[in-house]
Amino acid sequence: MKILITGATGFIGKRLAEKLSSAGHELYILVRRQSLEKAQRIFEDKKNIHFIIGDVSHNDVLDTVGGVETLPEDIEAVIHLAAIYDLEVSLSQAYANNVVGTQNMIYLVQRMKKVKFYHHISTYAVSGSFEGDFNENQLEPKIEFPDFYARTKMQAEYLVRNALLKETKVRIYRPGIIIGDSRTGEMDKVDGPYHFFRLFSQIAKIKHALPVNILPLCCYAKSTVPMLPVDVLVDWLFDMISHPTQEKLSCYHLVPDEKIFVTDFVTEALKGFDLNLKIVRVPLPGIYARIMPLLKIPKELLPYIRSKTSYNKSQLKKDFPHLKAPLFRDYLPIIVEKAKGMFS
Amino acid sequence: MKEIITIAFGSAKENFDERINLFGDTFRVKRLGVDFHFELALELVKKYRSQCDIMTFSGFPTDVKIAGKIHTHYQTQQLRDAAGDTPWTDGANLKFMALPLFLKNLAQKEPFLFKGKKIAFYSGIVQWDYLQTYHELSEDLIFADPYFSTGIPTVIKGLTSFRKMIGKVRPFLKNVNLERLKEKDFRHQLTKSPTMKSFFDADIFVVNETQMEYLKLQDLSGKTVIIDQIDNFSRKQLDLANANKVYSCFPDFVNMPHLGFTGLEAVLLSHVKKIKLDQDDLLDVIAKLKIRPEIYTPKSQKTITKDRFSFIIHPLSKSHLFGLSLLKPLEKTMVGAHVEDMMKHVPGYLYGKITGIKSDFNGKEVEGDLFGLPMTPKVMLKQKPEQVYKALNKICDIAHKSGSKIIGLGAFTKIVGDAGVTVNERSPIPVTTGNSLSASATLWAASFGIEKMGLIKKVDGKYDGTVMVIGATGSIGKVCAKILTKQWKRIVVSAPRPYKVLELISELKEQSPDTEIVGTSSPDKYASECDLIITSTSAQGESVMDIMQVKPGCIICDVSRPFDFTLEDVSKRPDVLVIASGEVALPGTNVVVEKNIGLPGNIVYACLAETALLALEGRHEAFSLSRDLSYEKVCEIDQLARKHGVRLAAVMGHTGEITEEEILLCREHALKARAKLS
Repeated sequence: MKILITGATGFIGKRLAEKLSSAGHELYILVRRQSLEKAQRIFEDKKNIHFIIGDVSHNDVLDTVGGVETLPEDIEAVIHLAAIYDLEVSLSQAYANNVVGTQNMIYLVQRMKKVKFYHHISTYAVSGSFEGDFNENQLEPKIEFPDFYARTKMQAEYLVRNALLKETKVRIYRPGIIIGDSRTGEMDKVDGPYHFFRLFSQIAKIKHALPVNILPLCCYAKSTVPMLPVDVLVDWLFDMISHPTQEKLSCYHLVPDEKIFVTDFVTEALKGFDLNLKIVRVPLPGIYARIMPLLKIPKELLPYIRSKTSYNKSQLKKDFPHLKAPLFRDYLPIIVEKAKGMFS
Repeated sequence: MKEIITIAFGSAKENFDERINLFGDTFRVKRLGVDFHFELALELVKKYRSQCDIMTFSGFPTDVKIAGKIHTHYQTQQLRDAAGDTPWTDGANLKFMALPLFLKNLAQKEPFLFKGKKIAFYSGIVQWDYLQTYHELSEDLIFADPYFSTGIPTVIKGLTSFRKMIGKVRPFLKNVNLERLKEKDFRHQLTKSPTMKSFFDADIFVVNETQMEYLKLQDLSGKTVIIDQIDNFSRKQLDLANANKVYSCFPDFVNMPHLGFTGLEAVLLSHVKKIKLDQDDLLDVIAKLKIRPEIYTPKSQKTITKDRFSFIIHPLSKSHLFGLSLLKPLEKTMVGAHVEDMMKHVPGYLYGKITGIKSDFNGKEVEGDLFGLPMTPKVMLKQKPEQVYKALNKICDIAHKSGSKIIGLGAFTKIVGDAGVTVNERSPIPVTTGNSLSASATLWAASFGIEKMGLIKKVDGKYDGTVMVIGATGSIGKVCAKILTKQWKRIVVSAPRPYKVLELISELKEQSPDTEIVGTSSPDKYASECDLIITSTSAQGESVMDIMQVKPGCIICDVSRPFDFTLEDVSKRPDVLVIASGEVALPGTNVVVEKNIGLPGNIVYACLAETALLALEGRHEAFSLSRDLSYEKVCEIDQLARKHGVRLAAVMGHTGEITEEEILLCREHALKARAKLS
């Protein structure tokens, strides 16, 4: 099958492209001119990977003069992974890439002739500040959003859901927090929980000089982190993209079955760093948010560790009951071990 | 293909990206909504100006011309500057041409839409160029601009004071940060302050699609809305708002749902390949695309919603009271004599229901509750009005609680005291006497009689004969005179005071210069010439005219209460048709009037039908009050009756319904009498 994919040089994208190409699919990877070299390096020995110069945030997407005509006519699937993912991103950047980028991709798909499936990678963060059980077909545009990333991804998903795609079926995936590889611990960048890992590795260096053995954490007892290792996510996506159901539109929460409580997660991580700190939950998020940057943790993370949302995955269980995530206690030591290396 | 990018101040949820074909060209039109983030708008203009042929701005303030000087909001100017060499438009030129045309067209088509109505502007400054046009349609304009631009919950009434205010604050207005406008949300508590009440009481609300994002939808419920153009979002909002009627100033192109003034002007701009459009280009496109008003019926109106109304009736005599099963055993006892007086202390009660009323026009259904006030006319007139008001207002409260949106006063309840004015003031829901439709229905009955008698011919659309209105300077008489002057070739207006008659004649002449109008103070003089006589006097039973003088085959509509012609008079002249009123049938195939209201079958009083009509139309207002009647209102209710399907069902005489056979019998008598005369 011929697949057009965006964001294939990213953290998730390169692993997914690798897997799809190994399975024999013909991939057309949309890359920005400045990322072409990087892309060629990543996929150098792959014969079934082709590069198309373009930019999703650009009105015409494709750089070539001929536009959509230059794409092979028999592309059957489009995977839109490209997005600006950075909690500290400016609004205009987030908007141009996430909202306009998605609009442009929809426009492109509407003009391609044989696309059977449009796979849109959204995020669990589209729940915004919603509290309670968030289901897979829920979207609350009027709710508060903690950052521009979450807001623009919500807007993008809203547009996808309401897009007029006649022959094309739409799949929306909302992955949870993505961390390193569960088998190797491999991770590309410092992000999400890794900010805490960095802090822990620094504390570990001075642990004998600590005046008190406590770690204040501003979260609720029931706050959870819907965490998924990147390799698991890629396996799931691969499976779901290869065997989609026949509904016109489906959306899936790609999160683990188990509830990973923030306090449990931090306790386990601390163990990995040989730190014997007692976690004390503290109130006053306003003050906590001011302290976080001093510890080099972006304050934008705070809403995510204070989450009161649980992610319902009944659609996923119904359509893909065999997709199971490993337990976090089993893979976290590997992740932490690797993280130690990153910050040593 | 030309590419057009619209930067909209509203929500990103309404973004679109689509191709349209117009004027033989293909255009790609993309909307980018910034959710009221001005900086984002600016950044997007900078990023995309080189990627499109035309840039358009929507939802940002357009230029305001005050005293010959053009004022541009500083942020609008920033956007335009940011566009650089890329041509831009905000649709203002096209709108400036099309909107006044649209409004005038609308006023012509629906003359009662604006007449005497209060028009509310969420932001008058946004509609600045069109205020004069609105002012010409109704002088009752009200503006929420003080709240909208400064957050102070107050309003400005009238165009003159609004202009004065704008003149004073314009340097300040230009510099208000647009993002602050979103904080002036009309859902805010402050808008509920009494100082703003008169704004939300308005009949017509003028909005644009961006404002639909920050106004309170309930405020539009049952109102008329005029919107610049309808997009998907405002369509959804208007459906939710349950607005009564929505007029969009831009046509709904099925295959170009997102094209508005802004989009169309951009398309035009890139099509004509000019920097600026001139008037001819604009007029041309208005004509070509047939840009004219569009009526949008909100979904909530399409799906069946059942509004409720109430109507108050009462027993006409003591014998009616004994019709109640509970009181029946008392009739023959000693207590029986006092029942009438005792019952006045009994509060009103739910007597019955009218179900199955369904508009012929839009299928809207309404249900009516009939409330009984156990007072006979005798008791009512003997008591102090205050006592009756209290009893009526108690019923109004119950009706309000059971979901009625409007209540009508039946029979004598609308005669007591000031004829509904006080009751309406104290009632939580609007009160109407139903007199407008009663007047209208009586005239229907008159024309029905004329048609059936078949003695008068129509020439050039007018009855070729003479009509007389006795008591023509009174409120009902005047309305009848005005209506009949249009329908008849010759009219005689009679009233006791000659100077008033003269005044009326000049008024009627102005209205219908072709009709021959005669004034008199002694109606008997013309009695033998008239084919139709309407009497509406307060003669209190004194004779106003000798019925023996009347021409055979004449139709008399006796609108006065008590009647001007006694039963004795009527029986003297079998060749004259004396009509007391016209009663009507409500629209709907399954109308059921649960209880006896003194009329056969499902026929109802015209005043009850007026209440039902107002509920059908969603016009919850005190439509007819006091003894005065307005010509405009009678014409309007007449229009509404035709629209929803209320029609004449019975012609009532002094002793009950007049059947068609009775009319034909009268005709025979008349023909014989005429033959005798000649």
